[in-house]
Amino acid sequence: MTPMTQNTSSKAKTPSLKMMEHLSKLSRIKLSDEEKQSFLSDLKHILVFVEKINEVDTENVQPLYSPVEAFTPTQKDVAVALNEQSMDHSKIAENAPNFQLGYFVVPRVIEE
Amino acid sequence: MTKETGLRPENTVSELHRLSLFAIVKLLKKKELTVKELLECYLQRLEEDERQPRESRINAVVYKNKEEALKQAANAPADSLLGGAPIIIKENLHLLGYPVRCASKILSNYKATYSSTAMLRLLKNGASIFATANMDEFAMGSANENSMHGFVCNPLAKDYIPGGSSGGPAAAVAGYFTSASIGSDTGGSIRQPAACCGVIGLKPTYGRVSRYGLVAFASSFDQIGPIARRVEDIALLLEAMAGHDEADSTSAKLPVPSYSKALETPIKNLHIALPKEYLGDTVHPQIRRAFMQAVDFYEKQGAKISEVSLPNTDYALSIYYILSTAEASSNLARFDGIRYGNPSKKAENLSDLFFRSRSEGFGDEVKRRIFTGSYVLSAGYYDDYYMKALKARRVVYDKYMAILKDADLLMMPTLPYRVFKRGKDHEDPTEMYRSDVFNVAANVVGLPSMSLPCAKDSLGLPISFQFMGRPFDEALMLRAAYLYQQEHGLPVFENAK
Repeated sequence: MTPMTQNTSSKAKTPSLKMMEHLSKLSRIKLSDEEKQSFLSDLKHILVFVEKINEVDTENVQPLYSPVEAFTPTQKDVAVALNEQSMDHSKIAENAPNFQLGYFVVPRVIEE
Repeated sequence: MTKETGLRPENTVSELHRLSLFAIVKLLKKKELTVKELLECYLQRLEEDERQPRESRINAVVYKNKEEALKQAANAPADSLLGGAPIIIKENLHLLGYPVRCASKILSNYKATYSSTAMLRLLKNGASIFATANMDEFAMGSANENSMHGFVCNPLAKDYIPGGSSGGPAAAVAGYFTSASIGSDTGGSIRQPAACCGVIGLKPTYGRVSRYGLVAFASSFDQIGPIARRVEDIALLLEAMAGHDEADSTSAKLPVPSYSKALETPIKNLHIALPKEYLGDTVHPQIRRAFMQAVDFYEKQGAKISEVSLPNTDYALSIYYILSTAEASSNLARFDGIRYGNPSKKAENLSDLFFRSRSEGFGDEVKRRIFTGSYVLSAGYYDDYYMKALKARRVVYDKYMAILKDADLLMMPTLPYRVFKRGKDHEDPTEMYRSDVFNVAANVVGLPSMSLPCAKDSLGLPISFQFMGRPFDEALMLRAAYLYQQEHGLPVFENAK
């Protein structure tokens, strides 16, 4: 039990407004007070919706991360073009909102 | 309705749009048709659609590029599989120079800086890509109502949904704006819209088609696949895209059969299993009746039909919405408005830029899924939701594999409900999530699945059934579907004048 949830009779924990604020921060998505309430209500619905999963007996079952389990291929730590087009830096710069002297420009990071 | 054969229709220009991909390839190779006249026919139809008032505009296509398509067709290798034939792709697939907006404001200025492997393979096999199609934002939705480009109408009945998230690609095929299109399917996003629009859609086995260059939604679920009106067209496009790719380590190192050549191979001793959970009370009586008629067809063709139980069907939906949102919340973290995308103009510092760009750029459904994904992955909830769902995924996986040891194919209705009207107001987002109930299991388990129309309901809207097959055995599914098309016939929907 964490302070971000309220105790309920069901196994699912009910997220609080504080939790919604935490998720907003984790997700880097700003929410107005009204939006917080509305997304919180949606999240509650979704958690009740997926709660059914607790009925599955998963004792001694290993997690399945992907339908393809074979192996993780490794490769040398060198840049390779995955196809004839993927290494064209000038095109990448064209998409950048602010690209100068070979750098992506961002707003001030360190405050004076 | 002109039959979709290899013969050029008598009444040429006005009927060109009805040609199937297979017929187009034949005519192009015989030089009885040019890519240019076909493109002009499609583009004229699209322009006509653009002139319609919003409520009756299909709005399936969001970008056109005739010149580039003509170049691609001119560069098609001699004797290529597709001979220069024009197709449409979903707006989340990278093709150099084409916008890849994923129907999201956050990518409204983004153009592909490279091409996805699947698109490059299509070009090498002689496709020309003349347009991109509308979709639900970041492929999240089942009605194609979450899009910066506006909603898509079902060409069969304009006040009905076309399905989603590949609503644009499906509506483009059903509306005769193209013979075929390419979509992506994370939890039914090819099959559900295909079923809503009365066309055919196939989600390949996870790992069959390279995902390199498909904008990631849920990486362990996503697959690229074809949509068309004829089974042979689906076979051609899958053949053109499939196969191992070094750029996608999850793509399988397996040979790709010639699907189009395999179609006519007779099927012997076909065993089809019907999971009884997919025929429960939630299935509309008209759909059940049409579905059982399709089952009867296969029985008369000599297939063995058996009923099986998949008690985990309901869980697949929970597993899907936990894992796909978790993966999405991670995949969508890259959209910060710095290297590409649409940064907020109001940002005061770097952190503020992230917050503002994402808040302004993402739509509500995308935000909802990012929050859900962040929740199920966050400290204190990870084990109860994310880990629990991963374990349950194996339980479901094992059950499907056990049944497919014995049965060759699983068969079920694609949708338990009749196609519904646009603009439904959902108090609870899970009402829409439930519409994927019969579609998500194939993605949870990674199995190939294909939907094809088999009847019309009392309003003349399509009813479809779907197969799920063994991993990497798309060929059998295609052969079974081809048998149905040839011996029974697909329903013809009079629409799109």
